[in-house]
Amino acid sequence: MLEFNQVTKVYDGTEKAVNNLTLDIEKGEFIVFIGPSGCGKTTTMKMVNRLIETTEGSISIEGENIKNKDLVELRRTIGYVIQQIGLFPHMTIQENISLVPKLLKWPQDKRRDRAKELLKLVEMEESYLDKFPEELSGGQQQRIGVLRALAADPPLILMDEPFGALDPITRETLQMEFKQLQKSLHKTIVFVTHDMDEALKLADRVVIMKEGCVVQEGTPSHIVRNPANDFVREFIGKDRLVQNDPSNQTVEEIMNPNPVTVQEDMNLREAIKIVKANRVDTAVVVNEEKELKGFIDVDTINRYHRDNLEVGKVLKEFPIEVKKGTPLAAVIRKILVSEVKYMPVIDENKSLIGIITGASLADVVYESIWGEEEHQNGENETIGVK
Amino acid sequence: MSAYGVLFAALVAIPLGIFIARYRKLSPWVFSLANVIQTIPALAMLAVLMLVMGLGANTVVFSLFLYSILPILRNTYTGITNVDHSMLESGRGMGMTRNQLLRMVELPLALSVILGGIRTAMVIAIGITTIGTFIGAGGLGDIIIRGTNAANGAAIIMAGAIPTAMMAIIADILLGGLEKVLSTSKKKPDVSQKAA
Ligand SMILES: Nc1ncnc2c1ncn2[C@@H]1O[C@H](COP(=O)(O)OP(=O)(O)O)[C@@H](O)[C@H]1O
Ligand SMILES: [Mg+2]
Repeated sequence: MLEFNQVTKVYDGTEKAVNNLTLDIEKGEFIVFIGPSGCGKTTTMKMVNRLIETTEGSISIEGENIKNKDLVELRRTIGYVIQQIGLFPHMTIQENISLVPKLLKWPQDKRRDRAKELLKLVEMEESYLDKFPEELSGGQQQRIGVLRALAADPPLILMDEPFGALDPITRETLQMEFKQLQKSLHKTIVFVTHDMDEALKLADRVVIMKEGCVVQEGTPSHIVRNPANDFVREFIGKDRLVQNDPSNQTVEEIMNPNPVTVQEDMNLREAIKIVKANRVDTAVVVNEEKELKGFIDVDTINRYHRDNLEVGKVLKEFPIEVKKGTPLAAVIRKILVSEVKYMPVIDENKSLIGIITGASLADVVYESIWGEEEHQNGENETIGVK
Repeated sequence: MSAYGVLFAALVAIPLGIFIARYRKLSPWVFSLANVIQTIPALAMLAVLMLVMGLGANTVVFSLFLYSILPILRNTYTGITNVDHSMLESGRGMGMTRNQLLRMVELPLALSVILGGIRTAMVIAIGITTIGTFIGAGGLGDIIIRGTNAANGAAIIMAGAIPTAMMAIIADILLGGLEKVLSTSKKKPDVSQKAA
């Protein structure tokens, strides 16, 4: 969708701000340029909407060289968000959001409807439409800055350190919101930052730059696991090389996919047989469609074994269930605060697909503590649980 | 009468200010010319113009015009060149043409500063108009002169001078108020500076 072909930029002088950059960005990809200050990230980005012209090489969008497009039209089809936010103080929020639609001559009521629709995306009330930027907090202003870039529904959005000026908590909130938004909108996003946490959190692909050149590119987990050289390793930071692992894992990777189960409509004696045969103290209860119902444990058995009731009548419900795809970090926190021993993992139909036990979590914690040593020993590769 | 001179000056100086804000290399030349005009004493200016244009209101209006150019020009130039860089960048990045940028961003944001220039010009103008009486332009200056010629003309002088002063003050307050209204409802770009 967006191609850099041997792009070089030289400002006056001989120093190359961007040096022979070749890169293919796919449709819908969230790509993050990262590197120390002055490495050419902003220059790279501004060459795309031609706020800066290339010195050599070419950039094309959907196969068409941007040099052949009308400058003004090109920019109206590319969303642009900058660190300084750049909302117009003399325009209301609505006017700010619908500026590009206005330039594109949308009728007034369509512009207003669009602004309302966009505000809903970030869960801000309609009453903000007629306020001025100054009346909003920094975080709200940058939300509007993002909406403004989305207004005319451009397929490509450029963001230059958009969250850089926000306080850490607001920044994190906006990052999460934006990642969520991006998932539903399927935009191609080119994002610039110097914050590695931000890059790893948001990117589909990270491009690490140094002095105008690409040092390494790849998915966050690839880069964290296989830093190309000392510069990258240092830039990522030792902590993240290890820590990033559990936070990138999801519950499926560590769950036991074959927990002992009993049917809801069995009677208790049959169930006890299964429990004993498998030498476990707890069994998960499901119905015929494998839908999760609850569990029975030693305590249930002791209390009811004489009555020979149906399992469905005596089961207990799990205090916590987790959905497929939940990040491991969230689960660790839950287990630590709630002291539960087991957590069932379910899919979107509530069907049981596995179970997380205290033991499997202990493995993860163990690995993340000792994993670092593995790295230094050069055995490197997959930290985490097999 | 004062208002005419300032109005004509605004019609010339604002576009000129915009022009030199865009082509900054020209600005030193234009400013030194405007400065020269400004330093000519009012009476001398009136006298010279009188020689060329004769007596009457037109001469006064013309000299007001000349005097008003510098403050309006200077403020227009400053107002526009001081518009925050991030405003321009986001405007351009969103695909505004050069003229749209001027109309929708630069001028609105510079408006209160430009008005400040007009206000200064107006106050100067009222003073000069009063002097204009010497070349027979009429107005409150006439009353003052009549007072200085009368035997005990203090009261008559006051009758001319007080309204003159009042006019200057009222014009100043009115324009100052307008400037304030505009700069509070159309907020100044300050957010970005906090960020940077
Ligand atoms: N307008 C400019 N004129 C001259 N040099 C510039 C200009 N903009 C950036 N540079 C130089 O180009 C290099 C890359 O800058 P930039 O792309 O802004 O880096 P980053 O965004 O990664 O911090 C820097 O060395 C900077 O000094
Ligand atoms: Mg930068």
